[in-house]
This record gives sequence, structure tokens and C-alpha cells, in this order.
Amino acid sequence: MQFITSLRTKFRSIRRRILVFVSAVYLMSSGLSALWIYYEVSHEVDELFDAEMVQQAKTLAAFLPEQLSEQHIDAELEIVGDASNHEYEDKLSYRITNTTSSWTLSTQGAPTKASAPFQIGFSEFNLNGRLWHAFGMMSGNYQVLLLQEDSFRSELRSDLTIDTLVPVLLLLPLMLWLGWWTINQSFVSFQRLATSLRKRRPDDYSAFEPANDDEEVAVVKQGLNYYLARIEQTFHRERRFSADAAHELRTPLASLKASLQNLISSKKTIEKPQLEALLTSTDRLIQLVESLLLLSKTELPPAAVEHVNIAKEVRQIVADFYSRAEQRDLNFEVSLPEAVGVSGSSDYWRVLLANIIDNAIKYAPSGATIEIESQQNNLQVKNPIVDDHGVDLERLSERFYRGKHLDVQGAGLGLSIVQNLARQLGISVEFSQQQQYFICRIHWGDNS
Amino acid sequence: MRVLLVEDDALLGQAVQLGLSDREFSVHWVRTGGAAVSELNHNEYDAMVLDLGLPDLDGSRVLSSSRKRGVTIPILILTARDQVHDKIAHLDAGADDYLTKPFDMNELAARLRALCRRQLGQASADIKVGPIMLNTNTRDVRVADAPLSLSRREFELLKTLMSAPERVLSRDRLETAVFQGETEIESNALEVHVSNLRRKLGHKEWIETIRGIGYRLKCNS
Repeated sequence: MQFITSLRTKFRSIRRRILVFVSAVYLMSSGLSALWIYYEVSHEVDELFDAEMVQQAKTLAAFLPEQLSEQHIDAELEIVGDASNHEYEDKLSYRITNTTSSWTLSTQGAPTKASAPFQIGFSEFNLNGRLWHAFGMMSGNYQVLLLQEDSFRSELRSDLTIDTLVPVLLLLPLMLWLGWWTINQSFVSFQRLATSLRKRRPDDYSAFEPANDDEEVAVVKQGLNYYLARIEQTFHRERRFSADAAHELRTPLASLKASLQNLISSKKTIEKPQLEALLTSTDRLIQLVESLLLLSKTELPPAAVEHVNIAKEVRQIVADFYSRAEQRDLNFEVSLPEAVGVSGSSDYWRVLLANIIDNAIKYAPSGATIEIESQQNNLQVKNPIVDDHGVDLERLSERFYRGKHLDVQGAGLGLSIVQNLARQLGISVEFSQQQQYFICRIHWGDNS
Repeated sequence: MRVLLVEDDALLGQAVQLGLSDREFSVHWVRTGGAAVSELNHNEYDAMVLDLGLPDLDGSRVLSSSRKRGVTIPILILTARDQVHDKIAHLDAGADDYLTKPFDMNELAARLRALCRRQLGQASADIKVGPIMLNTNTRDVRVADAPLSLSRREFELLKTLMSAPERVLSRDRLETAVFQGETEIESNALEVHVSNLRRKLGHKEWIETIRGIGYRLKCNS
């Protein structure tokens, strides 16, 4: 059972299947051709030796005297020569009998008259379990009988057949090796295709070039290209959806905000505090929509990968946020080298860093100092927190999770955005809490 | 100042018209691209506020066809599309400014005023922050009416700081402005120019150092 399972596993390889099938066909056709050769050779051998027997009988007959000499008439049986000169000699023999006397000339070991009676033409008979071929002819008063044992012919038949099979069998290993090599060579292009697929960036939807491919690889490539084109369409539809949604949400929000601002600045308005509250709510709504759109954008891989100096980005972000931090009486302690080089989309890095720093500004108690520092391949943003910070670190990057800080403006999407961006940039972002500090540490690979 | 407002959304169009009118603009509001094109043909305007998603003719078509026909007034694109490549494409197609919805009414008005100023050729000529006066054309700098002689780099540094008073500018941004693409910059080169400038201005506290980040111009006196 286990053997069958392992055999089945092995036969899942197209290469193995082709090789086994081709070898089987090769062996089968070799067997068939050997069988064919055997019958053909038998026929030819029989014809050749039969013709030889006829010829020999005629030659012998030509040498026979018309009248037997005196000495011969009385002799009953004459044995010609000694049959030990050649191993085949006892398989070939003849017997000449004079019909007017009892004179018989025969080779040594030739079958006797009793066991092999004379018969004109070709005949076969069995003697002691051996098959013999005979040819008899009349020449004057003589019966000339040529005899050949079949083992001699059959040996020739099988020798010739085996000789044709041997090279076939000897070549089998070479053929198997050549076959395996050729098949493997042909499958290399599939492997190349697989490698290039594995190495693709997730947002690379460009079609595979149809460069000099084998027909089979070309078919697979066509299929892949078709699939890639459809994925790209879906991707673009999704992007368009975000853009459409943005437009749909932003326009009414814009008119709401513009109208409120008009009302507030109008001299006739008296309920200004209520309107200010409405404007604040509108701004929060706008922020929420912007965050949601940003979040949906960060689900997609970045459009371009470039070299980014994040030290410069951090300085720019802190500079932009500075007056906001000052309003909360916060200080910054930034120790960054001139340049910290990473790779990725600069837009994604900027949004990621801005969200982390924005988070620190929001949750640090007033009067605190936010520390930003970078070593080798990590960057750390550290800010003090209030005693009852009440944040579950595990849930930080959950959407809309805000801990206990419902008084702080925000929708709880910032760190979800950070996590998404980190995933797209292939970096890790860790949040931890040490004594009275909240620490966010970004870690990127050495090859970034 | 006559402004042509092209916005298909009724509520937003109304709000912007009202808001800009309150801020001393005279606004003519149309709701289609076709109407915008014919308005530009028949009437004189100082600026145009153009929405991109219009029902008949897309805003970008209105923009490119106006520029082709030689319309030179400043055009501000007002749109919900915030993709960077959208912005670049429209600025390259002849737009002067780009503002994404939702926006602040005050910012829209300020940008329109700036665009019109630039159009009139007053653009970035005189900048005044507190007692400092800087003319970008003549490169003349005065502190409380007393002329000040600055090197080329000190001038660029002061100009950049004065372009955003009270705001922190990162050292990277200042370096770009002062050294303009030079690659071999000594690590303390910016500090040297800042300290020279402080000395020449005579008020050290006017240029505040934000440690690890950059500098800020503070001279509200």
C-alpha cells in the first residue's frame, strides 16, 4: 500500500511520467522488432540451407560413377572420414545408397536407413528428440540424401536475433540518461518562469515577455498574462473606488464647512459658540474621512520604491508639528544623524512617521519631552504617559481603538495606518510600555 | 476682484460664492464646463476657481482648452482628488494652484489673493516680517529702515526664513534653499551662516534654534 502511494507520488512528476512512458515504448518496440527479426531470420536461414543442401546433393551426384567398381559392390557400408574435425560436423551429413547393390556411402554418425528412410525432396524427421532436415534426390541408381540437424539452424536463428537485441539493451541506459537530460532541459524554462514569479513585487502587474519560449511555456505565460491583466483591472477599480468615495464624501463636507465658516464670519450671527462647536465637529468628521481614505490607500502597495532619508523626513514632520506641540507645552529631544537611509515609498514613510509623531504629541502629558533617536537600523519615538494611561498594547493597531482617551481628538485609526504602512514597506513597528514611557520602535532590514 | 467659480455641487457652490463675496470678491458662479468656457469668452475675470468633476466637460478639459486659447488669468483647481500625480498633471497643464476639498474658506481666499498679486507682478517682491524688510528683486534688505549688507547665502537663508515667519523650518529645507543642490556641504555650514546672519541682524533671539530640527524666525516687535 505504501509502495503504491510512494509510486503515485513519484508519478505526479510529468518528467518521470514521460521518461517511463518513452522507455516502455522503446522496450516494447525493441521486443516486437526482435520477434519480427527472429521469424524473418528463420525463414531466410531455412531457405539458404535448403538451397545449400540441394546444391550439395547435386555436386555429390555429379561425382558418382555410373558403375560401381568391384571392390565397392561387395562393401556394405563405407564411412567417409572422421567427424571430429569440427564440432558442427556431426550435425551435417549425407548418405548415398546404390539401389542396384547394397552399397552405401555415409558420413560418420549419419542417421541409418532405418531411422531416416530415403524420401525424395525436403522432409523433416525426429531422431532421439532432435529435429533433422533432409533432402533426397535420385541420380541414376543412387539415392542421395543430405541431412542437417536443426539445432545448427536454430542456433543461427537465435544468435542473429540476440545480436540485434544486444545493442538495443546496451543503449538503454544511455537513452534513459539522454531522455532525462533532454526533458530536464526543456523544463528549465518552467523553472525560470516560477522563479521570476516568486521574485515579483506584489504590485508588479506587467505582462511576461514572450521571449523565444517553448510552445508549452508560452501557453502558461499567456494564461498568466491574462490573469495579471485582470488583477490589474481589479486593482485600478479599487483605486478608482477610493477616489470616487473621496469625491463623494469630500464635496458635501466642503460645503458644510464653508457654510459654517460663512455663518461664523457673518456680522449678523449671534450664536457663534454653537457654530464654533459645529465647525469643530465638522473638522473631526473631515479628519475621520481623511483617515479612512488614507487607511484604504495604505492597503495597497506603493507605486514606487526609492531611497529615502528618514532623518530628513522626521525633521520636516517635527518642524511642521512644532507649533501644535508648543501649544501643549511639549519639547522635543531629537538626536538623529544627518542622514538615515532606507528604501521604500517616500510618501509611505512620511505618513508612517507623521502618524507615530502625531500619536506621541496627542498622548504625551503637557510639559513632557518627546525623544526621537535612531541607531543602526531602527528608529525610536519615546514619550511619557500619564499614570492611568489605560492602553492595551495588544489592541493598539486595531481600528478605532482609542484606549481611555476619549478626550483626545482622533478616530483611533492612526496606528492602524502605521501597521498597514509597515506591512507595505516590509518593516516592523513595535509598541511597548516601560515605566512611565510609551515607546514606538521602527525596525527595518539591513538591506533596506 | 472678479472671480469665476466653476462648481457643479449646488450647496458647495453657494457656500463658496457667499464666502468669497464676504471676503471682498465679486463671484460669478457657473455649474458646467460649457458655461465656464463661454463665460471666459465673453467676460473679463481676474481669476478662476475650477472644480474637476463637472457633469458635461471635465475640469481638466476646461483648463487645457482655456490655456490653449490664451487665457492667462490665474486658475485655482478645487477638487476632491488628492493624488500627487493628479496635482502634478494639472499644475503642468497650466493650473496655478491646487486645493483639495474640504478646505478652509480663509485659505481659499488667501490663495486667491496671492495668485492675483503674483499676476499683477507684485509677486514676492517685498516681504516684510516685523522690522525686517526684504526685496527679492533688488535684493535690498533693511532692518528698521537701516540697510543691511548680506552675502548671497545669508540673503537666501533670510528670505526662506521670512517666507514662513513663526514657523519651524527643518535644517534640510534651509540647506536646500541656501546651497541649492550643492552636494559637498560641510556639516556645520548652515550653522555658520545662521550665526553670521544673527550677528548682522543684531538680534540673536530673532532666529531661534530648534535643537535637532531646524530654525524659526521670531521677530514680532
